[in-house]
Amino acid sequence: MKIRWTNIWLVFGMVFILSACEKDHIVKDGMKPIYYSFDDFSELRSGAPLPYGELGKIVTSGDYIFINEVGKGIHVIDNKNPNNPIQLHFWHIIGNSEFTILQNYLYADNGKHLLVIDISDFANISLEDVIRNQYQPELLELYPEGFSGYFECYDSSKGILKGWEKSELINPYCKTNN
Amino acid sequence: MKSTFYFLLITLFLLSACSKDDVASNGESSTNSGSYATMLTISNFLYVVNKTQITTFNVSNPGQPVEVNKQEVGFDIESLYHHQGLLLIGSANNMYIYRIGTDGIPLRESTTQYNETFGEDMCTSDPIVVKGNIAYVTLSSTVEVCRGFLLINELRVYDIQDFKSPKLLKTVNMSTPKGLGLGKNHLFVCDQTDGLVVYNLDNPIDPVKVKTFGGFEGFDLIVNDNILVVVAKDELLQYDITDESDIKYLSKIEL
Repeated sequence: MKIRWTNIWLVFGMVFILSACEKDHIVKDGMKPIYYSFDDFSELRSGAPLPYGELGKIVTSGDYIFINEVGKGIHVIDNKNPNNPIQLHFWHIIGNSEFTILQNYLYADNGKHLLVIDISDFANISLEDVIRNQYQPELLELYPEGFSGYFECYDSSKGILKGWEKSELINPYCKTNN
Repeated sequence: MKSTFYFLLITLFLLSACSKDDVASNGESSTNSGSYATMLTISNFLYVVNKTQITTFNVSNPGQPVEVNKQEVGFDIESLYHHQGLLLIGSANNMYIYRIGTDGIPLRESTTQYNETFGEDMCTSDPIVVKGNIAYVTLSSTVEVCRGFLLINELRVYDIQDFKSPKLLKTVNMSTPKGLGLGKNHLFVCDQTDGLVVYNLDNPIDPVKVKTFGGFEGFDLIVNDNILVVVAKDELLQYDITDESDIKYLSKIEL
């Protein structure tokens, strides 16, 4: 009998402690970031031209103009006739903002690593080498646009922001202003 | 006599072959970068700046760069420019001048603080170009990016003949100057508010504004001989600068 009572008190005690724990947790519906790993190069490719969004760094080489689309890759333009430049390709390099060209190689960052890309065939580029950890991922305070409420803070060390998805958040720290 | 003639002929032929080769190799390395570049290849080396460091890679084999040196430079580095064996690095607070050693590794020669009164509390974006002994630097800061900081928007002219100790010669107020580049006798400056501003450099230490092309948010530019390539926020514009006093708009690609 004695033992049973002890057990009951123990159970009571545990329930009390657990409920106390639960009170500390705030669970909210919100958004959480979807990450694209800095070590995933599977989407690196040459594709059809894309419209301009937010343009960045520029390089010219021979008859071509190369313009960075911030965070996404590089617009390739045939400029043999400056009166009529032609959009040729878009090179998808997720996380890219810095680059230069030497002969048949493109050196481009992805926010963390320096990528060496063979561009001998503009229509079919390929990753040649990765020089790791040349950049410290920037501490960006990114938030889900067009959304109001709680979200899981974006952590640039985890990867490149790919998008946001709905999620149950435990103790969310970040919240939109609006 | 005849053999001498043939000898001359062959020598001439060989020489002309040589010069052709030179042209070809120049063609290969005809890569030009905007003033916001952070990566440059110079002979067998690739120089890369990130926010705080400069790294030197040997690119004798371009497909496999080999890191040969890495140095701490400062904070908030934004641009890298090459002029006659010097590397000029623009950061939010300072202009750094490095000399490229015979081994290809840069050595720091000087650090020029943009604001001695306010010290490190600067928030600017500041590419650099050089003509002769004169460096042109744009400093710009916008309210959105630089909340709480001193706002500065100007073009600065420095004498860098003594690159160990650059001297500020002149300051020209601008709206929100960004990337810049040099023509034969003019300085072209992109401006986020005004578009493209053209300065006459008859007197290199006293740029005189002669023309403005508006209607876009200028960001950076490249001068390719007679063609001026301008990147705006979401469009690419080109101008014919054969006659720099009569610049002609050529084309535009936009959204």
